[in-house]
Amino acid sequence: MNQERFQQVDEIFQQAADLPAGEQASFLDRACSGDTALRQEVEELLAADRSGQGFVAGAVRQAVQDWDHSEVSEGQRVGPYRIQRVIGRGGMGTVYLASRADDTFEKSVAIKIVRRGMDKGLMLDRFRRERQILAKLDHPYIARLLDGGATPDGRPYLVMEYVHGVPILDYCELNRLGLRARLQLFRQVCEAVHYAHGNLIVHRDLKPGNILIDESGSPKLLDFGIAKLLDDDGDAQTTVMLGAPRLLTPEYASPEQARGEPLTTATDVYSLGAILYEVLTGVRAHRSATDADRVPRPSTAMRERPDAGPAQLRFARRLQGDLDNIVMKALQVDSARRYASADQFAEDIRRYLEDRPVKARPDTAGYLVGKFIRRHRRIAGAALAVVLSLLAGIGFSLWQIRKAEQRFRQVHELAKAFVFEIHDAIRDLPGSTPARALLVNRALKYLDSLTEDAGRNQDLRRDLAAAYLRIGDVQGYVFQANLGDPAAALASYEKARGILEPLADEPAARLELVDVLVRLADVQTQTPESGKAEPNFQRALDLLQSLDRQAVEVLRREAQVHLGLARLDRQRGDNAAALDHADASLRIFDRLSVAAPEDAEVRRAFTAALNARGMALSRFNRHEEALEAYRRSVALIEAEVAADPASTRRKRELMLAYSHVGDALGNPSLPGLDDAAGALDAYRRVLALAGELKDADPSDARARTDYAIALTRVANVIEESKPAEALPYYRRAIGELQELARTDANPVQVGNFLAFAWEQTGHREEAMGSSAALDAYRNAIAAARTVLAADPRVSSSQATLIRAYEGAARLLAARGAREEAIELVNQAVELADAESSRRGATFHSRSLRPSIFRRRRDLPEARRHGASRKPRTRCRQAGGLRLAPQEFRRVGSTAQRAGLPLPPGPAGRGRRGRIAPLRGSSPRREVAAGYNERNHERPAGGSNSSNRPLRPRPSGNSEPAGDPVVGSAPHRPRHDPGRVDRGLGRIDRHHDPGSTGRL
Amino acid sequence: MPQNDVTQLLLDWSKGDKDALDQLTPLVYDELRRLAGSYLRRESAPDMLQPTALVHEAYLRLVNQNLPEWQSRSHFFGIAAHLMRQILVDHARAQRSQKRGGGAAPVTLNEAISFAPERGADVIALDEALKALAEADARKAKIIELRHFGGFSVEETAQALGVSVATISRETRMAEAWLYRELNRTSE
Repeated sequence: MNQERFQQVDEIFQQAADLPAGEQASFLDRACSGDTALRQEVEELLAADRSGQGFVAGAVRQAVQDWDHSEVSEGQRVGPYRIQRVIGRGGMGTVYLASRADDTFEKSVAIKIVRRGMDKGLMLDRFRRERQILAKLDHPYIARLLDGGATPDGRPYLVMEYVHGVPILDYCELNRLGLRARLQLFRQVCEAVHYAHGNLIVHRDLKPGNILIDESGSPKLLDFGIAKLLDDDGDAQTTVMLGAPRLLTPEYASPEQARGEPLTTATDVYSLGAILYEVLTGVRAHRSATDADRVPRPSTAMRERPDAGPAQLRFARRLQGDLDNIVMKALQVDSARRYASADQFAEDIRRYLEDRPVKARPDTAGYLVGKFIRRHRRIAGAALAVVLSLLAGIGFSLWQIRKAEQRFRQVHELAKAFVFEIHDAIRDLPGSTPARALLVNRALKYLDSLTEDAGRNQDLRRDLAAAYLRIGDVQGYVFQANLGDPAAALASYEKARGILEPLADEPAARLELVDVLVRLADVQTQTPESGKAEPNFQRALDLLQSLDRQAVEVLRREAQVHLGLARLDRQRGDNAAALDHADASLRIFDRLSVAAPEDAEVRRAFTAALNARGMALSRFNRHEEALEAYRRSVALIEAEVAADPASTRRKRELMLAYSHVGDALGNPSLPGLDDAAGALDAYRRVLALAGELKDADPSDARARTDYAIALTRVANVIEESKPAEALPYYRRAIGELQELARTDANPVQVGNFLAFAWEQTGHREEAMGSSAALDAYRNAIAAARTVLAADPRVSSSQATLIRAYEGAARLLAARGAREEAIELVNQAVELADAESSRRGATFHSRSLRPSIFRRRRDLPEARRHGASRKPRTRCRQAGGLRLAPQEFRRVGSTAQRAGLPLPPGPAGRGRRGRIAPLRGSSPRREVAAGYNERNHERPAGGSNSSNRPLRPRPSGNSEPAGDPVVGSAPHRPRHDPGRVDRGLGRIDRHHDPGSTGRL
Repeated sequence: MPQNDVTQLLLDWSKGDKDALDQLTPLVYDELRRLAGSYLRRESAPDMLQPTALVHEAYLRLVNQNLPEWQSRSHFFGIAAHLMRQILVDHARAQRSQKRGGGAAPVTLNEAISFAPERGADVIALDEALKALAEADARKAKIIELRHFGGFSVEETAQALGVSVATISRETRMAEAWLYRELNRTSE
C-alpha cells in the first residue's frame, strides 16, 4: 500500500471511527464516493477496530512469558538429564524431551520445568515428599512420575515417563472409533483414575490433553497429582497476581473447583464426565465451570452441532437415554449426586454396553428420596401405601395414554422414575412428609405439563383427571393413608373437576366426575370448609340421577354419597340426619352385597356405613343397636380376613371394628352398656390384632402406635380395684411409646398417649400406695408439656396435665411439701383457667377450679368460681367432692346401678364410681342431681344405662382405613357432653389419644 | 555498570553521533535481558513482568539521573522500546526454530502440559506487520513500539514524537486496527 492511499484510508477511518455505528454507512457513502476498494478497506479497519481491542498488548505479554519459558536450552543438563528439545509449553512451565545423561542406553523422559511464579510458596521439602507419593503410582495407564528436583536457580522440575501417543479426542477422530470403542477406551481411563483414587491421589486437572493414547491403543494419563503438587499451599495471591486462570482448565473443571473449594475424587469424576461428553459428542460440555448448570444433554449437543447431518442424528439417537443419563450424572453440579467413584462410572458404562439397566437416571425425585432415606432409615407403612397408590394410579393411567411418541416418552420417564427409583427407595421410606411431598410434587409437575398438551384429546384428559384424583388422595384423602395436606388435596380434586366438567356429557366421564365430587366433599367435611361439602354431595346425587340407577357402578356411588352425608351430618351434630343417611347408604349396600358380592370396594364402604350407623346410634344412646351395627361390621371384616389372612389392611379394619365394639360395650371414657367384661374382651381382641400387625412390620410406626393405644385401652377398662393388673399394660404401653417418641413418628400423638399412660400409671400406683406414683405424675407432666409446646390445642393433653398436676400436688402435700404442692396446683388452675376462657364454659377444666381452690383452702375464691355454676354449687353442697362433671355422672350411674352408697376412694379424684370425699359424707343423691341438672339428656334418677347422656366421640374415627385404632379417647375426663363435641370435635379428632394415624 | 558510558553515548547520539547508537544498543540490550532474568527469578516477578517495568528500571540503572530528563529519557526509552521488541522477537524466532529443528515430534504434548490461557498473537507476526506499517506510516509504527514495547504513556509518546495527545490516541487506534487486520489477513 502506498503512503498516499494509506493516508486517505487513515483519514476516512479516523472520521468514521468517531461516528455512531448507525451513521457510519452514510458517511462512508459520501467519503468514498464510489471507490469500492477504498470503502472496503475502511470497513475492514472499522471491523478490526471493534474486535482487535487490546490484542497488541496481549501479544507482547505473551512474548514476554514465552521468553521466560525457555531458559533451559538444548544440551543443557538438568540434574542427571540432558535436555534435547522443547516438546510443550504452557502457563505453568515448559516440557522438554530429555534423556539420562549418565545412562548407557538412552531412555527418553519428559521433564517439566516449572515456570517462575507458578511455584510461589512451594516448599521444596514438601514438593519432594509429595513427589515420592506420586512416584508410587504404578499403573499401566498412568504415565509414571520418575524423578524431580530443582534447577541450579531453584526452579522445581518433574521427570516423567515419556509417552508416545496422541490425545484421546484426536485418537478417536483419527481412528474413527465407533460408539462402543470410545466407551471401552473411556472405561480404561476410569480404571486408571480409580486406581489413583485408591492411592488417595486426585488428578485435579483431567482433560483430553492429559489422556494420551499410545501406539498399542492404551490410554496413558499424564500429570497425576501434579496440579495439587504445584497448587497446594501456594499463595492464592500468586494466581491473582498473574492475572492468569487458576491451575485448571475451565472446560473440564468441576463447579467446586472453579469456586476454589477443597477438591475430592468427585472433582475427577466430574472432569471424566466432561471428557466423555466431548469424546461422545465432539462438543465441549461447557466453556467454563460457571456454565455447569446449563450443560445440554449429550444427545441434544450432538443434534445441535452445526455440522449435524444424518450420521450425527443417528448417533444422537444412540446417546439419548442411558448415555445421556450416565454423562449427566457425572456432570452433576452437586458432587454428592455424581457417581461415587470413577469405578462406578465405568461400571455403569459397562452395564450400558451389556444392555443392562444403568444406575444413572434423570435428575429425579428418586435421588432426593433416596438421599432423604439414607438420612432417616426409618419406615412408615403409610408412605409405602402412598407410593403404591401413586404407582397404581398415575403409572397405570398414564400408561394408557402413550399414543404419541412424545407422550410415550413423558410417560416412560414417569414410569421409570416411579418404578425404578422410588421402588428402591420405598422399602424404607420414612414416615416423614418431605420425601412424600416430593413425590407428589414431582408427579404434579408431570401432570401439569401433560395437561398443557392434552388439548382436545378426551381420553387423555380423563386420564389426567384420574391422575389428579389419585394425587389428591395421596395428599389428603382422609380415609386413606395420606400426606395430611387436605388443602392440596382439594386443589388437586378441583383440577380434576375442572377437567371433567366439560366432558360430563359422556356417562363414563360423569361417573368419574361423581367420584371427584365425593372426594371433594369428603375432604371438605373434615376441614373448616365443611359448608361446601353438601352442595358437592348434592351435585353428585344429581349426576347419578341421570344415569342408570340400577347399575352397580351407580348404586355404589349413591351409597357412598349417603355415607359421606352421614359423616357430614355427624360432623354438624345432626345425628338424626346422620342416622338417616347411614341407613340409606346401608340399604343400597345391602342390595349391592347381593348384586356385587365380590366387590371389595362395596364391602369396604358397607362396613364404613355400618360404623356410621353405629356412631349415630350411640349418640342417641341406642348402644345396643349401635353394638349390633358394629358387630355386623366385625362379622363382615372377619370374613374378609379369613379369606385374605395376609392383608394387613383388612386386619387393621378388623381391629378398628373390635375397638368400636369395645367402646359400645364399656369404654370407661364413653357412654356405653357398662359391660366392662365385654369391653375388656373386645379390647383384648384389639390388642391381639394390634400385636399381630406390629409383629408383621415392627418398623411400621402406625402399627406400633396402634399397639400402644390398644394396651392403654385394655388397661383403662381394667377395674379400678385391680391396679396391679392394669399397671403392666401401662408399662408396656409406655415402653412402646417411648420407643416411638425416639422416631419421628407423629410426636404429638405419641406424646399425648404417653402423658396419658404415665398419668394413669401414677393414678394406679397412688392407689397401691406406691412411691413410684410421684415420678409417674412427673413424667406425665413432662410428656404433656412437650405435647402442648408442640401444639397447644391438644385438649386431652391439657386434661392429662391438669390431672397430673393435681396428682403430684396431692402426693407432695401428703409428704408435707406444701409449697411445691401449691405451686403445682396453681399451675393446674392457671391452665384450666386459660383453657376455660379460651374454650368457653363448656370446657371441663373450669369445673376443676373450685376443687383446686378448695385444695388451696381458698374457699371464698372457690365459691366465687363455683357460685355461678350449678354443678359446682351442688358439688360443694355434696360435701366438697372434687369431681369433674363426667365424674359426677360416672359416680351417679355406677352408684345407682349398684344401688349402693358411693364407696370412699383413695385420695385421688373419682374414677368410675370412686370418689374422693374431703369430708367423708355420702354424696350420691346430690351428685346425681347435679349432673342431671347440667345434662338435660339424662332423666333424673334414671337407672337405665341406655339412657345415659349423649357423649362426645371423636368424630371420623370409625372409618375402616387410615382411621384410629380406637374410636374414643382414653382420657376419662371428657368434655362436657353434647355441646362440647360440636365445638371441639374437629380439633380433638386430630390430637385426641383416641385418634391414630390421622396426622 | 557502565552508567556513565551509557549516559555519554546517549548524549553523543542526541548530538548526532550515529556510532553512539551502535555502541549503546548492546549495552541496553544486555541490561534489559539481565533485568528480565532477575525479575523472572524474583518472587514479585509475575505482575512486574512487563516491558514497561523493564525499560524503566534499565533507564534508572543505565542513565545518570543528574542529567536533565528531557535530554536523556525519551531518547533512552525510544531505544529501549525498540530493543525490547527486538529481544522478544529474537527469542520467539529462536524458540520456533528450536521447536522445528528437533524434527516433527509425533507427540502433541503441547496440550498435555499446557495450563495456558488463550495464547495471544504471535509476536513474530506482529513484528512483521509493524514493519509493513512503518513503510506506510512510520510514525504509527513508532507509536505502537513506544507504547507497547517501551511502556510509554500517551502523554510520553506525544512528547517524544512532538505531536498532540489527541493525535497519539487517534493514531494508536488506527494503527491497532490496521495491525489486527493485517495479522488476520496473513494468518489466513
